[in-house]
Amino acid sequence: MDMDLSDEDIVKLVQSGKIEPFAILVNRYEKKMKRYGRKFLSEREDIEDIVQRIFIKSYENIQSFDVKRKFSSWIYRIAHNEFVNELKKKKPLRFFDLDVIFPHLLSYKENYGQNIDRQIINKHLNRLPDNYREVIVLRYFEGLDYKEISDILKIPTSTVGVRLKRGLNKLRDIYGKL
Amino acid sequence: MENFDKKIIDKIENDKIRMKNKAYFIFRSVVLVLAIIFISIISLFFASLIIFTLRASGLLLLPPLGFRGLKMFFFSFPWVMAIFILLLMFFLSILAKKYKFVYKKPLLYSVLGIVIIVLIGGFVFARFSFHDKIFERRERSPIISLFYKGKEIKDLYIGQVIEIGNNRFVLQTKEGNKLTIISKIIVEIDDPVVVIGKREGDIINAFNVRKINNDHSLFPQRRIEKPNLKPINYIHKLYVFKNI
Repeated sequence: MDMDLSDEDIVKLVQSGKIEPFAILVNRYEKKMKRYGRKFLSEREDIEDIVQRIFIKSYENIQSFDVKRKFSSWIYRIAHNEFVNELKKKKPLRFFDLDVIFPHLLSYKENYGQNIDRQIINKHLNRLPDNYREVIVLRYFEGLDYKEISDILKIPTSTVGVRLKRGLNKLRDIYGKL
Repeated sequence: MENFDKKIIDKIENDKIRMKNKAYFIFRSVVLVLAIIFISIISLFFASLIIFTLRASGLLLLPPLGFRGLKMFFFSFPWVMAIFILLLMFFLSILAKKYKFVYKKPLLYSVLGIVIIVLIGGFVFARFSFHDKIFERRERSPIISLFYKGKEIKDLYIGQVIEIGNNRFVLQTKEGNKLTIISKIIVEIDDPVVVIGKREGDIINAFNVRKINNDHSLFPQRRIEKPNLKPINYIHKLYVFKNI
């Protein structure tokens, strides 16, 4: 198997009925999914089981993936839904999120907070509300851009920027040194 | 330790996990689009029904009649129907959130967009005699009559001036009733008017009287009235509605 194939080319092979190439996708995304889950769900012990479910769901639904789009955004979306469901089991999530309902007056920059210390963020991440924590994880630990995060969370790009800014400001309040 | 990728592949094979068919996803998308279209049509129908109700019951004539008119308008407005439309529109925005052009903008914009489309569509819909035709056939179906059921709006009288006296005039309503209106407001014979007042027998002590156009709808209908009718007949379709 050509390991240089893009994610989308591998998906084409899986969609045609071959199961083996799916192992390459699992291999490529295993660490990312586990890291995303550990940070978003605050170091839970059952991350491995949840990530396993994410890959099984991806396989079941892979025919719905449009190969013209980015596979990473698609699998992160499945992961997001799975993690949010896990969070809902512990505590009810807010039904109305004003960040998504109203346009933002707060300005933001695409490269906001580029020079921040990831170690400090990591240390205090679990003290942030879920919605701020998730965008910070996707941006600074998974290295995704605003557009990708917007597609994963299905929220406006401006909301991604504003949540990042507010999340970092909250972290600053917590730590005071960021 | 077993490789994670091998573990996943083994699970897929051992548990006989199958990929869902492409046709399943196409079917789901079609159902979603149909649901969106269906809810949009239902919203348009009810929005236009509200406009029809306001026009046909004479409720639209109330706001210019001062505080009392506004109060009557508020308490006679079909709020249940309006809230039902808002719920439909909220549901519609959730269904449509799957689409990029919807979630890329704040939800407020999507909801406002839907509200504007439904309102404009409702007005356009209400311009045609669609609801008048259903109203005329309401007795044939109990479901239809539920939405088009009439109820008098208390203290509201609409008709045509047929006699003028000192500080009073006689109003002929569309049902043919002749009511004496006590009012200092100057009107002329044949004027179509709306009156708010307390009724004692056939005498109304008017709080407010206002001349109206023959066709007092927000947007006159395309239906053309027969030219040989007397003006009173132009105050047509003056139905009164129960709030639903």
